[in-house]
Amino acid sequence: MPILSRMLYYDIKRRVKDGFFIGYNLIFPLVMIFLLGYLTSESYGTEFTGYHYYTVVMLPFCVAMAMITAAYAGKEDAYRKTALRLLFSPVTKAQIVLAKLLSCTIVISLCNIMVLSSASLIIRLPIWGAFFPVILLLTIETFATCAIGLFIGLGMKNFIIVKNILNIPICAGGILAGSFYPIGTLNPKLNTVLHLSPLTWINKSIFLYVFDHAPSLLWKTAGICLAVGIIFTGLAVKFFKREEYSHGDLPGFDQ
Amino acid sequence: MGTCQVLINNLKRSWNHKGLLIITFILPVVLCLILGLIPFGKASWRIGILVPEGAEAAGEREALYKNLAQLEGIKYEEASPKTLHTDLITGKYHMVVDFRHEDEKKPFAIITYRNEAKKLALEESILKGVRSKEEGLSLTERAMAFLQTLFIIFSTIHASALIRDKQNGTLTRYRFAKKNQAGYHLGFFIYTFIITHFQLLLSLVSLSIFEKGFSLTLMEALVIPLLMTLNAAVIALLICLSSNSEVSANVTSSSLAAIMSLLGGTFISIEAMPPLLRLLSALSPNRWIVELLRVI
Repeated sequence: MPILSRMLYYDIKRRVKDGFFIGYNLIFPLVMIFLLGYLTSESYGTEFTGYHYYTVVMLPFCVAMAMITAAYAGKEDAYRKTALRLLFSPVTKAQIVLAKLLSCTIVISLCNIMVLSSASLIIRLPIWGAFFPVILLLTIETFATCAIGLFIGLGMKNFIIVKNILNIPICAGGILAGSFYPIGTLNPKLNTVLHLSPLTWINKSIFLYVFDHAPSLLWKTAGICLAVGIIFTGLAVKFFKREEYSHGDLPGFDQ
Repeated sequence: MGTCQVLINNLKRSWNHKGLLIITFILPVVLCLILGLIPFGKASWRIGILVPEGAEAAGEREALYKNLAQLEGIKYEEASPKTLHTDLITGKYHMVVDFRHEDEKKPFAIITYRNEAKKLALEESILKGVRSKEEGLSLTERAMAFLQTLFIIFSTIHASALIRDKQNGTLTRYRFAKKNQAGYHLGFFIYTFIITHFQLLLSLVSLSIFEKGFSLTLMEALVIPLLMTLNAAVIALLICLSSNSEVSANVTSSSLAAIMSLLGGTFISIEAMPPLLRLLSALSPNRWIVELLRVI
């Protein structure tokens, strides 16, 4: 436990010092919320505005994009030449994975709290009664996406293929979930396609909780995300590749 | 000579990653086919109807549905009061017509989060049977704008090998060979251009075959893909030259492509944007492509 907490401390320090990581999880969502809110300001009325809509849908999308940063976080010890030291020290694979996973989850969740609370204050999103459940869902989503990202970064041989195309399915999932523009349909087939995106379920569950006071989908979605996160954490530990972790930086290693 | 070497080496490198090459060829087509299913901004209203419960209401409901069926461009179904606000927010319904509290003056109330002008337009549609039209992009225009967005991301994936080369010292070795760094960058640009253009052409051919309603004239097919590739390759190279790591290049390209796509009217029509953003949309290559399609 002291080893894990020490590693967690160092990993959190790395995350906090990483300007890109913080910028992407803190500034990017705010910029997108205000840009898209302004973009659609003429389409909405006064009671519910585009700013309200994008505050709810942009955070789950940005959390999903954190999968990419988590995948790269798996490789950072190789790039910083600290991987071999850790492998020679009495540290288990599980501790390495957990330290990275928890550090990403904690820092991204803190960013989410700051974005949601500041955006809610500025645009007066009526979320205060549902603030903690929504943050809980986002934290669990962060945990699940970081677990998947770490599984890709630490456990997959063809990392180069996956990491390069990872943002495409995430963006496609975001489009289907209405992260850029609300996509509604009465066509059952298209409705099924839209519900293939996990982000659709997450967005829907938040809207249901906040605006229709229907909490059941949010808890179910959170439960499923938690299960996915636990499964992928287990997979990341089981398929942890020492070579990937320690030599992922070498020229030609992943080419 | 150096530029040619860089180009050939990158083509070889790309050929060695057949998995990535195949996926980047297939993904845009699949995504465009899915996008073709989505009716962005089509001239139709999706209406949810809230009716009173009970046997008496059933007859009233039938009469209402008969009236609505006569109106062109209106799709409707019974709405659930339990998910009413979520359905409106997520765009399942543009508006909900509430017949539960009818009075003599007005048989229904309209519930919507849209602006007042749209609310009035729908009210008129229902009362007079007039179809309201919303301006939007055609399927071809939307697919081309979407492909532009996608290929900015894909071009960055190809060009990001430049960042790896910088980190691995390949670029330094190249410079020690008394060759100009600009030649190296030019080699990368040509490589990105060639591979992106080939992928784009294949996507366009696939879309012409599989997507009903997607068509380009010969002139459009010759000029526009070239300009799209040029846009994508230039943006990708600029992103890669200004990024320190592949992760920042990949994430920046996705973010930039999303913003350009939104500003360019891929999802929200330019006419519906605030005046300032309407001006800013001129910066988006997606808008140039759409405007060009209309001009040619």
